[in-house]
Amino acid sequence: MNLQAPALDLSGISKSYPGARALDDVSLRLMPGEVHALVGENGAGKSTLIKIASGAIQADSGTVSVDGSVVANASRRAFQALGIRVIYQERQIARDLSVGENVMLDRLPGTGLVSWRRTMSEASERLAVLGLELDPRSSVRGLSVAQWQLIEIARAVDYGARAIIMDEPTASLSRVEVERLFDVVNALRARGVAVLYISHHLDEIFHLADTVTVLRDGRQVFNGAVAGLTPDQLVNEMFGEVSHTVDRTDSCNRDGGPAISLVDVHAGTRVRGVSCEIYPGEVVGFTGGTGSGTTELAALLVGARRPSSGSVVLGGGRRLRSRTGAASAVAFLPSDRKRRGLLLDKTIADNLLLGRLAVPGPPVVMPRRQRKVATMLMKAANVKSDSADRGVRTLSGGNQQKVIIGRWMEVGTPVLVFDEPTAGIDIPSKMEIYATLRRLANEGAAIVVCSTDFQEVGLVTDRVFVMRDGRIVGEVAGALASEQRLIEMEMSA
Amino acid sequence: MKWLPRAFRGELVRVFVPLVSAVVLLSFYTEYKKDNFVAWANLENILLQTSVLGIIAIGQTFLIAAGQLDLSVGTFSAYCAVLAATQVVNGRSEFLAVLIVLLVGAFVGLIWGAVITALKIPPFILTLGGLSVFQSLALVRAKNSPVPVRDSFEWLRTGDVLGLRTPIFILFVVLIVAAVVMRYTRFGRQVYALGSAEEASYLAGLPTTRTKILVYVISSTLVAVAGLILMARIGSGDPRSGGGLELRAIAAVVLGGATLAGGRGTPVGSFLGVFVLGVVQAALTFLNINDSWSDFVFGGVLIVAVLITAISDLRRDNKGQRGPLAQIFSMRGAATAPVQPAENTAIQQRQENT
Repeated sequence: MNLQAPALDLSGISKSYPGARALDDVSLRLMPGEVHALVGENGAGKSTLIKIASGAIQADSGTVSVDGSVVANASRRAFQALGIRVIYQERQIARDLSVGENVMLDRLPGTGLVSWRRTMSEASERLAVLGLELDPRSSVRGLSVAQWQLIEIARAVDYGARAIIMDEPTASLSRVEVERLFDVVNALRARGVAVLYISHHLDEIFHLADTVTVLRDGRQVFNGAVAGLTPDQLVNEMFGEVSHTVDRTDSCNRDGGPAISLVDVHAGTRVRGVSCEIYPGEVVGFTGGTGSGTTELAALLVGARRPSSGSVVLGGGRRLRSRTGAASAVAFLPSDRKRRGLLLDKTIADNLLLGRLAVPGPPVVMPRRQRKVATMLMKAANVKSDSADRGVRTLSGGNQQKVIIGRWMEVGTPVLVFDEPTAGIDIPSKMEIYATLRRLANEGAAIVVCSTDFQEVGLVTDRVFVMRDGRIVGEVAGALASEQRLIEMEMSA
Repeated sequence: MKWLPRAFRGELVRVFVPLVSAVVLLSFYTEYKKDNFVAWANLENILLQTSVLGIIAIGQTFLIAAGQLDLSVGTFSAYCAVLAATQVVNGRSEFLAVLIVLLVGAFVGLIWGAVITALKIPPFILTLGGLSVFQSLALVRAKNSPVPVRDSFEWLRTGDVLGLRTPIFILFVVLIVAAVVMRYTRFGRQVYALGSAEEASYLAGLPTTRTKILVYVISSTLVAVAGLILMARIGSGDPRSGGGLELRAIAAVVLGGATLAGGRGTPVGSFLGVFVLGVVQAALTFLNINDSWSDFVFGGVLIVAVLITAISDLRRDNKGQRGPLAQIFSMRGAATAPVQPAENTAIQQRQENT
């Protein structure tokens, strides 16, 4: 019998926003030394729950207790003082400060005056635990997203904490780095720190968690031990029944020559000599680990990055020289949707119409006509919102991606390049997006999917190029591109 | 309000209603205290006095909506005034003087735009430098004292077009054309997209460089127009006449619903912002209130307006995404956008390549 008080106890939590009930009577209890997974599709209420559990917002009803005593009207700072730490999904890095200062940001050591010697030595220790050998005095600028994420993990990991909330901590980490994080979580567990672990990756949950809570539409639909659950059961709890197949009608048409081709393209040390041809009506994948060059390849294919040598040739033989004005030849759907894809402070309609602003057209636009077009595109892309006048910010990640896809519908752009098309998107939306990709290909577009998600490229593409260190190391038909086959190809090269 | 264009309704509540009610309330209060405030002659007077600032503010609206800024507009308008006056004094025709000043305006805008896009310099610092440079150039060209042009530019000073005084007519033409361009042209929509998210616009394939250069050309040309009116109205090219206009213009644009983060702002809103400031000034004069209070009232109006906007924004999206301070200063992008590693942005990549 466990007589300890729960490290963090959320009881009967409800929270409403105007027009939406985010959480409805959710209870979640974290015992010391427990790794508790929190899962659910986007918009299920995970973020709201984390915000309440860390004091960022207040619940409408219900109580939050730390170590058995109720915390009332507390702020984020108060929760931090009680030993609740959070690793946020979005990067919280001060770009002008050093690595060490970023690690120690919330507790610079020293009395009165900051002791820089201790700051740097303690930061080094924290980073070393995560296997990150960085000079703490160096700048965080120019580091990779994965390194930034590790810095934030190093900041939050505190063996004296009561509970650590990790929101998608592995989103941009490589396999090796994920293993290191697992070691850290296990060490925390051994020291009696409770961990609330939020992830879209079910294998991580089965590998790591003791218990799991599933949220769906703001309600708690499952709460229990992980042992004895199967992945399929968990997925069904999260989404109801989902189909896992994507239509793969081959509509590739090689008669008229390639829609876009790469001729011995180099870009610094990131891409080293890639040549390939992509034809109308096919879905081609480029995959590999983080740093393999797929993201840089996407930028090269759309003209956002100029090759240091070699060239990108469009259908018809024209060379692609810059991004500006290239939208009628090749559309780009970037990976970081919020910052690089969307006009985040604008409406759904404004975002849907952006594709039309990028290709040649009549100089005068009539708002009434534009609204009609936007409404039509919203339907075509299956964006779930009652009006195109809503802010695009209010949509879930899946719907935001659909807006970006909708932007290029009916524009007639022959090539569409996706970089990580479904990163951070829940499974049902993923399936819808895959179906849309296939539909666009069947209508004659050439689709390029640059993705580090092996499962994804195996599911959606006709042909897959496997990349490592900026080179293509293998090609395989999509139907044969199982996750295992792709890993083998990447490793053996 | 159904009969209004849809996009207007949001702005209407947020910007136009508060500004217009401020004007009406203040006007009737002044009328009640002293007669003849609400009268065509007085309205004409206010419009005349605000024509210079109004045209500059409309130009600045293009810049701010595109996420840009030009702090040199005040002293540049003075330089244009001096330039026009010296041309006429040196025996050139009025027509030629006007043409030269307009061309200089467009050229200066082209330089700003080209330098800012090519070298990716923050416009704030660059145009702050421009503020000093133009002040000095104006003083040098005018040899430190106003260049009188009493007998020239009669048409611009006292002439009428279609029953309106020429500066008022020019102001209204600029206002209508600007409003139509911003709302009904691809260029206008590209300006808002650029100001809203520069990198997303660039990656979508919009001509962001061209758009940026064009907004500087438009703004600087309008500043040249304002400089001509300034010169005609004072009757001389005064090298010190444009001081402080840049801050008043920016204040009016923000009063009219823009945010310095870009992506918002309308010419009509900016004009109303300028007009409110003009009515306040006139009311102070009418009520014989010491002129020293005018800057206090001007600042107060701005602070109150920004607070009202911030509070209404807070209530509208109380998602807790931005802190109240970030809202009040409208630095939305800067304050809360999750930062990204430098190497990952396309703009950086372009720099790497060049």
